[in-house]
Amino acid sequence: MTDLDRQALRDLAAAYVLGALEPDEARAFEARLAASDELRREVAELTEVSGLLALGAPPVPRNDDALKRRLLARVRGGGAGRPGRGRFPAWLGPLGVAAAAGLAVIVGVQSARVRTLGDEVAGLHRQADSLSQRLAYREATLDHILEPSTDLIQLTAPGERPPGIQLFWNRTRGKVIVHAFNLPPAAQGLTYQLWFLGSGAPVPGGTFNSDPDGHALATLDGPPEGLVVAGAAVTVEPAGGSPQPTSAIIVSGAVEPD
Amino acid sequence: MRVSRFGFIADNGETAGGGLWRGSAGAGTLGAVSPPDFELIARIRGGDETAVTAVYDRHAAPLLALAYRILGDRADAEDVVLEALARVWREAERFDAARGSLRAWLTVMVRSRALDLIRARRRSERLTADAARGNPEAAVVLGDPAEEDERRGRVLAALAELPAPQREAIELAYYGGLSQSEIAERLGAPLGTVKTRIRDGMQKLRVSLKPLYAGGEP
Repeated sequence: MTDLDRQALRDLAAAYVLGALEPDEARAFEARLAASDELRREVAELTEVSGLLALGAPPVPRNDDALKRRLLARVRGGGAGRPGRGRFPAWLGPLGVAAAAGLAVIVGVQSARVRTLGDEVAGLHRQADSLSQRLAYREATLDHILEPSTDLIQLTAPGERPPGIQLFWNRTRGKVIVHAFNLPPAAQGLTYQLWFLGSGAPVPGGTFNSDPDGHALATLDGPPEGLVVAGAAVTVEPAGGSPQPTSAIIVSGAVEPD
Repeated sequence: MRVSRFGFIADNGETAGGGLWRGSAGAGTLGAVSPPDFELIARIRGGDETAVTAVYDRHAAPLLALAYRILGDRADAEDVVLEALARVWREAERFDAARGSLRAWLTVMVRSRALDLIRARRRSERLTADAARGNPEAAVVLGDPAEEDERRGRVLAALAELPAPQREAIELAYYGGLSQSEIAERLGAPLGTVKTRIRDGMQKLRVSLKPLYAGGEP
């Protein structure tokens, strides 16, 4: 999957949108998606097609009044008001800023229907500030990933829904970006540690932990210069890390030959 | 900061469907009948509960049909759709009209959840029924709004224009949640053939349905 050319990737986009790729194919595709605006546009357009295909299903009887009551109960059941206002996930990128600006305009011209215009705009400013900071980090991360000297190492494990880690190893910068998913947070007092696998004993890398949702994104030092890296692995270690592994490997993967 | 994760669906580790979309919602043309999606989202962000029921009015019918087609169970279908609509309320900040329509977001959420349920059900009950065959009881045509009927007619026409093998492969993936290799096994066709059918079929649908999503229709 590492040498898929552009056309082959475009060919995969339809199956990706339909959810018809195998899990490893989907993961590899998503890694390529990160680096290609063209591919993201392709996926976005096919997602619209997928959305319209819902109209192809035969209509079903429904009780709108009862369903709307249930919907409102569900909405109100979440507590007073809406949760988490002011969150713009980093993946929204510059478009998130545009959306925030667009929302500000909408709010402005429709102020009669928006009770707290001042609060809303202030909130948007706070969102924009926060977003700017996250954008700066994301841009740096993307730069790291997109440089030609960056290799992708996929760490996996057997099982139905195993944790997965993508290592973006930028040899020029000597840094590794760790992107993990399905990885439950390490318990208190413990941490995840990266190991570089060569011909000898595992060489300790940096430590990281995941969010409660099982994701992690961290920038760690790369392997020491001169080490011929054949693969990488992750274990759970006491906080601060260990000089050598003290527990079983959770995920591992090999460096794919050039 | 999740560099290689895209959009709503991938954020949940769900792979059915992409996650990014590019949008038409900002140019919704149903404004004469109901507020466009971007306005509804703005109202939801402002805490206006009536906007959620407006989203229901606008989108629930095809979503319920889709969920029922996949699940064959009305209570489950309703639950899946209500949860997706509730997520719009809870996560309205995540909607970006510049990247895709509200319909696309909702469809991704509903389809992904419904397929998760059907897969879990298959695992637990070892069901072998062809989920893509749907439930014949679902074929009760109700009086949808005329504009939705027209759009539905165009979608059905676009599907009807596909060569049967392409339509079959897409429906097995879309409604049945089968992977390409599972479809190949089901149909007794080579994997490469199935991949080609899905690719070519979706590209044809993209061309024939483009006026519905690129022309400003939500």
